[in-house]
Amino acid sequence: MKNNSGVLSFQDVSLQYSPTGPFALRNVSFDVGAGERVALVGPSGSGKTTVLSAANGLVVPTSGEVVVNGVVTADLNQRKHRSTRATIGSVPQGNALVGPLRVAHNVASGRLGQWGPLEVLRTLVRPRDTDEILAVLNQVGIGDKLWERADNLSGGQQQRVAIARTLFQKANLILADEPVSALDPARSEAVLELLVDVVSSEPDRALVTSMHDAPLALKHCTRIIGLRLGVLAFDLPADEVDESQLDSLYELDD
Amino acid sequence: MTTATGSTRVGAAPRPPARWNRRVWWLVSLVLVGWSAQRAGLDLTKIFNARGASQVGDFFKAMFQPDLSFGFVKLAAREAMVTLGFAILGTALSVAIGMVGGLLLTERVWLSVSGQATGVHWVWRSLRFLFAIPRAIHEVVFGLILVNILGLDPLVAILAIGIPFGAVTAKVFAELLDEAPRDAERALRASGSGRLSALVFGAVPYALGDILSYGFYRFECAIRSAAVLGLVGAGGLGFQLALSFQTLRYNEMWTLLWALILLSGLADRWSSVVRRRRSLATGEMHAQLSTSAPQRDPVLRTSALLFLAAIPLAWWRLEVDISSLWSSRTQTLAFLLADDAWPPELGDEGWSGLFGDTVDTLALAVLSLVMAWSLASLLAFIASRIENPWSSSGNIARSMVGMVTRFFLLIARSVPPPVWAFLTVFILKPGLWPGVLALAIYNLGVLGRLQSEVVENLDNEPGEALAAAGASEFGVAAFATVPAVSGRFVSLGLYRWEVAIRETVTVGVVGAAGLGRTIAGQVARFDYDGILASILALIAVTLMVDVISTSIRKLIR
Amino acid sequence: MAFLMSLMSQRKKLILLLMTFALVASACGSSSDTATGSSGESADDTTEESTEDSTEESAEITEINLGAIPDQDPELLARNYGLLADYLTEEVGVTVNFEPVTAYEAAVSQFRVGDLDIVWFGGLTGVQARLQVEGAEAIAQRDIDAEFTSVFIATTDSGIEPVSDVAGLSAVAGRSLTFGSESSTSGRLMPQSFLDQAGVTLDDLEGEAGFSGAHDKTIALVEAGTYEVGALNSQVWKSKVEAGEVDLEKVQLIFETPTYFDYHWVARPELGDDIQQKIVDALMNLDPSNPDHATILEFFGAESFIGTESANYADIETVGRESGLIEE
Repeated sequence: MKNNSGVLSFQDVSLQYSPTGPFALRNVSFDVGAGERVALVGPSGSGKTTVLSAANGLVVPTSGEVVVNGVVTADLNQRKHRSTRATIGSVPQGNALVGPLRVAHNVASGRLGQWGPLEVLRTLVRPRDTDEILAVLNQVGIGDKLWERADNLSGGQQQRVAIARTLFQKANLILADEPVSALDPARSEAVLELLVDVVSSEPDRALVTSMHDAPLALKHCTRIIGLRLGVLAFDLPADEVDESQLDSLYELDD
Repeated sequence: MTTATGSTRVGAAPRPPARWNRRVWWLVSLVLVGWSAQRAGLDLTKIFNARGASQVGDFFKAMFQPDLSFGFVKLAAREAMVTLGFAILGTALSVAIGMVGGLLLTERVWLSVSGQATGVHWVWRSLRFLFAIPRAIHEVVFGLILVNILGLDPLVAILAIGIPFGAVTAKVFAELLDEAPRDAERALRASGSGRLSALVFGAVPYALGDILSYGFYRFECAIRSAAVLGLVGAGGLGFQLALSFQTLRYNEMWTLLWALILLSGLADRWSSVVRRRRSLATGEMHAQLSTSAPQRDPVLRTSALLFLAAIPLAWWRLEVDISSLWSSRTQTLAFLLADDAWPPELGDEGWSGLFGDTVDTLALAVLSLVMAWSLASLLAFIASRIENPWSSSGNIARSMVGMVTRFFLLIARSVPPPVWAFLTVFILKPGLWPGVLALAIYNLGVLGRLQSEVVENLDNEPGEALAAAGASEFGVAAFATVPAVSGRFVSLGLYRWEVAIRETVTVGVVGAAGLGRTIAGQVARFDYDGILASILALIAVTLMVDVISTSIRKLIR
Repeated sequence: MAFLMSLMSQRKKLILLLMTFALVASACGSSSDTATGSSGESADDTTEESTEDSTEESAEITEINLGAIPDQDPELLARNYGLLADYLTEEVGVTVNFEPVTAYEAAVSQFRVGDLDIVWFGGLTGVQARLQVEGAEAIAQRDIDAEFTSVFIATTDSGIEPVSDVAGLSAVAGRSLTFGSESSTSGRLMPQSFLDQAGVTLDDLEGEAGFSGAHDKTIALVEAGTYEVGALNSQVWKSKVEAGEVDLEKVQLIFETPTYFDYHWVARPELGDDIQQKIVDALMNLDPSNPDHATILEFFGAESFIGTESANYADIETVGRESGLIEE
C-alpha cells in the first residue's frame, strides 16, 4: 500500500560505504511530499549524492530506512518491487543517455521496468509508442530530435532527453544529481525551468535535486536542505533560508 | 514522410530515417561472408568428419596427463625462460623502434609552426608507407626469412617480433603524439627550438604513459608470437612443441602447452593491470590519449622499471651476440637471399594461381573472424570481471562461470594456431574449413579478452539510471550495455580483420589453403622468388583490408 | 648502463635491418654474382674469429656441428645423436656437437648457412642441401638406405584393395591423399614419383593433396578418415604396427614401393677431405657386436654404415626437378 502523504522519506538514515569507513550520512531524517521541489545543497563531500543514491536504492543505509512511495528502498533490488522502482525517474549529471541509441529509444527506455524481455527487444528494434514519445519530447522542446543519435546532442539537449524519459516513465519522484553542473548559465536556467514545469504539471510529483549553486537552488526550489559532512544542517522553505546559513555550510574546517 | 501510416492524429511521429551507410555496410558484410562461405564450400557432408573426434579426444585427454617426469619438466621450464626472453627482448626492440618511428611518423613534426604543411611532407607520406609494410607481414614470415640468414640464433625471434611490432607501435605512438596538446610544443618552436626537440619536450611527456602501457600490450602479444616462432625453428617452448608434435607425443605437448598457458596468463594479467589505468585499455583500438593525469602512476612506473631490469637478464640468459648481425657470413647470406628472391616470380599457375590463393586467404580471414567475433561478443559479458550490483542471483556462481570462461579464452589464445589447425583437420575435411576453425578458436581467445575488457571499462552511469527506473537486468543489458559496447566491438572486429589476414600464414602450414600454404610449399622448395611474390600479395591484401576497415570504422563510428 | 647498451645495440640492429630491407627492395640483376656460395659461406662459424682465410680449413677446425632432420622422437634424437657425437669426437679428435633442428627446411638452410657442418639428411633434402653449398658431398649412408621403400596406406572403408605393382596405384585416382612433410623423400617425393608412374597426377586426386607434416601424423589422419590414402616411410609404418599403435581395423597397407636411395650424411667442404674420411671411417667402423655401437646402430635401424657418393642420388635429383622441388 502506498502512503499518500509522502513520496520520499528518510528515517534516521546513517550510511557507511565500508564497515570501517567514515559515515557518509549520519542520522539524516526528512520527508518529501507531493508537489515539493527540494534542493540538496552543500559542499562536495557533504553527502548530497549519497542521499540521492540511497533514494534510488543504489546504496543501502547502514541503519535507518529510506522509503519511496511507501516501500523501503533496501528491498528494491527484489523483482517484485520493480514497479515501485518504476516510479523513480533519474536525471544524472551527464552521461545519462545511451549514446549510440537514438533519442526515441532513450526516452522509451524509461518504461523498461514495466516490460518483459520480448517487449524490451521489440522496443530496441523500434519503439511502439512513438507518438507519445514525440509528445514528451515536444514538451521538453526538442521534438525535432526524435531520431537523432543521443551522443550527437549538446549537453543541454541530453538533459532534456533525460527529463523526457522521466515524463514517459510517468515517474512521480524525480531525482536529479547536479542536473546543470555541466551547462552554461543560460542553459542551466532553461533546464531548471523545464524541471520545475514538469514537476508542477502533475499534482503527485516531487523533485529532489542536488545543487552546488545555491542561488539557482533558491530560485527554482520550494525547499532547501543543507548538508554538511553528512549531517543535516538545516531544512527550510526556500524563502526562509538566509545568506549566513548558506555560508556556514561552506566554511572551511580549521 | 511526416505522417505515420493511417494515423491522422496531430503530432504523429515521423518514421525513423534510414541509416543508409549502415545498411550498405551490413549488406556488404553479409555478401562478403556469404561469398567466403561459398568459397570454402557449404556441402556439409564434405565438411565434417565425425570419425576423427576420437583423435581429438585423445589430445584433450592428455591435457590432464601432461608428462611430469623431472627431466621433461626441467626442459619445459628452461625453454619457457627462452620464450620469455624472446618476448622481453622483442618487445624492448619494438618499443625502441616505436619511439623513434613514432616521432618521425607524427604529422605535426612535419608541420611548420603555423600549422602549414612544409615542403618535406612527402617524406612523411613515404615514411608512413614504409612503416606499413612490415606491419603487413606476420612474425612467422620474418622468422622464416631470418632463420635462413642467421641460423640458430636468438636474434631470429627477437628481430621477427621486434620489427613488425615496432612498426605497429610507431603508428600508435604517432597517433598518440598527434593528439597531445600543442601549446607547449608551439611555444618551444616559437622560441627557436628544432622540430624534433620541440616534440620530444613539448608532446612526448603527454603520451609517454600511454605508450609505455601500450608496450605492455605488445608484450603479451610477444609471448604468443615467440611461441609460434618456435614452431618454425626459432627455439624456446614452441621449438620443443614442434619436436613433440612430430611424433604426436600428446603428454609432452601438454607439459609445454601448460607452461605456455601459464606464461601467457601471467603476461596478460600484468598487461591488464598496467593498462587498466589507461585509456588504451583495449590495446589495439584506435589510440586515444588518456585524459587522466599522465604521469606518476606507481604501477606503470614499477612495471616499466621491472621490465627494464629484465632486459639485460634476458640478454645474458639468451647469450645474445649482436655481432652476428654484421658478420661477413650474415652479409653474404643476406646478399644471397636477396639475389635469390629478386625479382619475385609467379609460380606455375601464374597470376591466376596467386590471385586464387589471395582470395582464399581473404575468405579464410573473413570466416574465421566472423565466427570468433560472434562468439566473443557473447562470451565477453560472461568473462568480464564486473560486480553487478543489480544481480539478484548468486554472485559466486557468476564469478565461477566467469573464471572458467576466462580460462577457456586463455587456452584458446595460448595454444598456437598450427596446433589448433592440426586438431581441426581431424574433425573437418581438408580444405578451407579446418583453417577457418583453427583461426576462429585462436582469434576467439584474443577477441574475447579484448571485448571483455571493453565491457569492464564500460561507463555504467546510463545503466544505473535505467536500473534505478526499474529496468530488469535484461533490460539494462539490452538498452544500456549492448548498445554502448557494440560500436567498440565492431571496431575491434574490424581491426582484427587485418590481423586475421596476417595470421592465416600460421595455419597455412597444415594444408589450409591460401597464401600460407603456398608459402609453406615454396619454403620446402627454397623458392625464394616465389616466396617474395607471395609476400607481396600478402602485403597488398593486408593493406587493402587496412584501408577498408579504417574507412568502415570511420563511417559507422 | 645495461639499458643504454641495449638501446645502442638496438640502434645498430635498426641500421642493419634497414640495410637488409634496402637489399630486398632494391637488389636488382646487378647484385654481384661474384659473391659465390663457397667464398662467402666459407666464413665457418666454428672458426670464431678469423673469417678471411678459408683455404686452410682443416687446420682450424676445432668444433664440428652435427645435425639431423627431425624425423623421430626428439628425445631419442637428442640421446642417440649425442652418443654418436661423443663417439665421433673420440674417433675424429675434434669436438662434435649435436644441434637439434625443428624442420626439414631449417636443416637445409642451417647447413647452407654453415651452422651445421655435417648433417643426416633425407634423400631429397640431402640433394637440396648439397646443391646449395658448392663442394658439399654425400659421404655415407646406412646399409638399408640403398634399398629404401615407402608405403601407401588406406582406410579400410575406402574400399581400396592392396595392389601388387606400381601400375596398381592408379586405384588412388579420385581419392583424397596426404603426404607427410613437403620435403620428405619417403613421405612425399618418391610416393609422388610412383604415383606419376601409375599415371596419377596430383590433379587426379580428390581435392588438394595434404601435407600432414610428419609420418606419424599421416597415419593419424588416415586413421581418422580425414584422408582416404596416405603415403609414408615404410620403417615408421612397420615399427608403429609392431608396437601395436595402429588400428588395423581402420587402416591397411595397400602398397610397398620399389626400392630407392634415401637417407645419407652430407658434409660441408670446409671439413676437408681428411676429417671427412675420418668421419666416414668412424661410421663404417661401428660394430654391432660392440654394445655401445649397437645402441647407435639400433637407433638408426641399421646393421652398419656404408660409404656413398653424390652420384647415387642422381635419380632423386631428377624426380625433384620434375616435381619442382628442386629449382634451377
